[in-house]
Amino acid sequence: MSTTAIPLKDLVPEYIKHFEAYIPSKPDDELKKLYGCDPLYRLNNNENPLGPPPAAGAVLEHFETRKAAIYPSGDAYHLRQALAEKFDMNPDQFLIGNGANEVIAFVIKAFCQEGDNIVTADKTFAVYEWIAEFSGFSARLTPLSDFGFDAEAMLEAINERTKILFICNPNNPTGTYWNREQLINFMDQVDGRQIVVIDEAYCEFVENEDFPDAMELLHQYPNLVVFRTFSKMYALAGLRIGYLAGSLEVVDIIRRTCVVYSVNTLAQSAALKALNDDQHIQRTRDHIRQEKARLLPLLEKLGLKYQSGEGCFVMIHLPMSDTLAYRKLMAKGVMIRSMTGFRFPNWIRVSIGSTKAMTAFAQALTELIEQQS
Amino acid sequence: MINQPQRQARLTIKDDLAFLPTVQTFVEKTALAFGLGQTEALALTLAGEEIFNYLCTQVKPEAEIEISCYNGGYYAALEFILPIRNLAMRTFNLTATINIDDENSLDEMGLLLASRMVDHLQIGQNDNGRLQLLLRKEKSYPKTTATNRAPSKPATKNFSIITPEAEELKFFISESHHYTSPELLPQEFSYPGKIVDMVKAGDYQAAIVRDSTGRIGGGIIWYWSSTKMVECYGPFILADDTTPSISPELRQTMAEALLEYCLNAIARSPAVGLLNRSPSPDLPQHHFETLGTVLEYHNTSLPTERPSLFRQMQEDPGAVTWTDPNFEPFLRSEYQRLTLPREIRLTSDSGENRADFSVLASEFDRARHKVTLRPLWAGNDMEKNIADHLTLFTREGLDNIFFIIDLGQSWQAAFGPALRENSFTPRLLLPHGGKGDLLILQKTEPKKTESVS
Repeated sequence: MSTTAIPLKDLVPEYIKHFEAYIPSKPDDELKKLYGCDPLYRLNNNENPLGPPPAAGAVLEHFETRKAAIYPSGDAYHLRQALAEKFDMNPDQFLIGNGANEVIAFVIKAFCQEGDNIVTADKTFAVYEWIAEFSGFSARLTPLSDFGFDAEAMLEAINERTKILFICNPNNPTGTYWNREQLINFMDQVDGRQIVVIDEAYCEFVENEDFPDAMELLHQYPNLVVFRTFSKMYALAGLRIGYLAGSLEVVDIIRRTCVVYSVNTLAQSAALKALNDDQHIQRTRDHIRQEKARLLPLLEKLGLKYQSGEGCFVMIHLPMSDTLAYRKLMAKGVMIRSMTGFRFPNWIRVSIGSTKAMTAFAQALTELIEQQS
Repeated sequence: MINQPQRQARLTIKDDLAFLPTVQTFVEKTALAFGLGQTEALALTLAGEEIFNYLCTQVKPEAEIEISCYNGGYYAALEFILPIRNLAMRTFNLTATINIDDENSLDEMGLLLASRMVDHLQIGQNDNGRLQLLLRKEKSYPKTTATNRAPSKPATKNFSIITPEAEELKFFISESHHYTSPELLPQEFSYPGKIVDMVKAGDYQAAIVRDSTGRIGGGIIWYWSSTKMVECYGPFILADDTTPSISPELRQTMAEALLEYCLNAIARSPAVGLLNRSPSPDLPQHHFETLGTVLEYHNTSLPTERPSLFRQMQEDPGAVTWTDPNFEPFLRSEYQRLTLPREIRLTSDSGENRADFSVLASEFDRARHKVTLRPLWAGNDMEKNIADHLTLFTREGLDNIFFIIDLGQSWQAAFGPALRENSFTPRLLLPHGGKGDLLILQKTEPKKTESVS
């Protein structure tokens, strides 16, 4: 056995020394014990309360255990075929990842080297910034303008070492989006000099007609990469599966950094069945609409400022620390997302859950605000 | 904590007194090269000499001592590092080699002598588990003369929050004396040049309100007080109640914007919390929770009761807390008040063998007459060891004595009875400030207090 202390100071890169590991929340049984609450409604991860589409659910129920011993398709062959058919593209224009987070890493690894940077907003999904920084690349952040991505600020932030621009459309957590005209205008100004990633994790929730389908722009802009996920609308978050699409030449580069066999068989099969269930999308949209229609008047009544855009979530501004509100709501059996980490101090984000969960949230929030005043 | 020193010089040497002149020359020349004045460089050299002398008498022969001198911009720091295997653990104790009952012996105590010559002395273990003695001597700076000037015109509502340039920062610091009670301003605010150097060194960060005409409306300063905790001063708004052109709403908007700027700057960092130990009247208190108060003893006047405000930067994941039963009522009450989910586990002495000697790490802040003790090792002499340290501190005129227990480290709970016997009182809890929550205890005297709100 070696008795020498590991020289971590010398072994660990500087950018890792200054990076803090993300600590996910504990499992429900542990949280219930800690906070003394039961039931516990999770309204923190923007999960779909309706569950997966029925056909995908059937795949899970009837999964043959013997298949667990067999490696999955290394590159999700059948799913890529189905995506190609759905979007009228070549199967090689798709890469499937273990959740969309993995495909973010693929793209950054493919295009960035020492000294390079990415550009994104300061108040958006944190994973673009995190992956860039713990990979040793800097993230140039631009402030939001009226809760939305500021195209001009992003263009100004580009320098000679900028490789990728990340836009979350609609934005998590604000729900704002660029319409087709704004997106095309932005792509024209970038003029193919950098890779532009449009993360459409929540696109299936948007009903407005001016919302752009970035997939349709791929043939026009070969530097465009589109992210989508099966975690949100298709409710397969527990299986971890997402994908990216781009031009053949760009995807060919990204594929070189792609970890094959990272997506399991169950996830591939369920995603394949979920893909074309438009009724599921409609049912989910109806539910979100109904629950937002119940929630927003309550927020008005409580005198709380809120930001409700597209997507299955609403941001609420509180007259108290959001991390304190998190603990107090947890003690009442409701888990929300505190927004200090998104650089929205004293805001919380609540996911639209089941009617029962939303009723519990409404009651807990009302009590919290009444106790505060 | 040394924050990315700009320059560093290192000397590795055997613990042999024959090398004393080498150490003296190394420290003096390096300190001068790093910008200390003659007086400060001499003080640091003398302190270094005392430490080296002390280590040569305590450390096993032929041990290698690593001596580093850092340029912190506004200070020079001297660090001695050596493996623990080369010395008795008791050496960590300030009181290890002196007869506490003999006042003359105090003057023979190298560590204590060194502590008198520098602004900051820290004895403890570094990240690699080696003994670390860290001394810091600051440069001298001229005191602000802002109080002699007429106050500036207040900023208007068309403002933005920016990182100030050096002159803007000095202006903000100097002007803050016009509008804020002296007891709410940190001591460093008397030396604007020092703050500029602290910001340059990366130890402090600052933001100010600047309006479209270039007027400065206020500011905030923050810094990392440990690897997990950020503390802030302010916000301080440069206007008083009688200033006609600044409404209470505008004042509040500026303060809120300054605080949010600070919060956003540390939002995706390892910071678990933001602490404010001197809440200014402009601090937007709805962002914070009150943790408790500490008493601030001054030489002659009554102690001041000072509240500590805190906000978590991350969602609380829950934790296990180990404590001696003495502190259980305090902890239960505080955890309930703060809605902190904790599993409290009580410890007890079950007759198991323990080391003969306990070990305490000391951190001096002489400018504030303050010393902080942390346990490094539990032992049978805990009560006496603490009492000896207290005797020493009292003789040194240090009135503000704190003891910090990491409730996430079960062995530290053994200090509970000894702390109670030595009149330490739990004052506040710092959630996730260490491996677990930190319990901050203070040596208190039954005196009357004044409160600051």
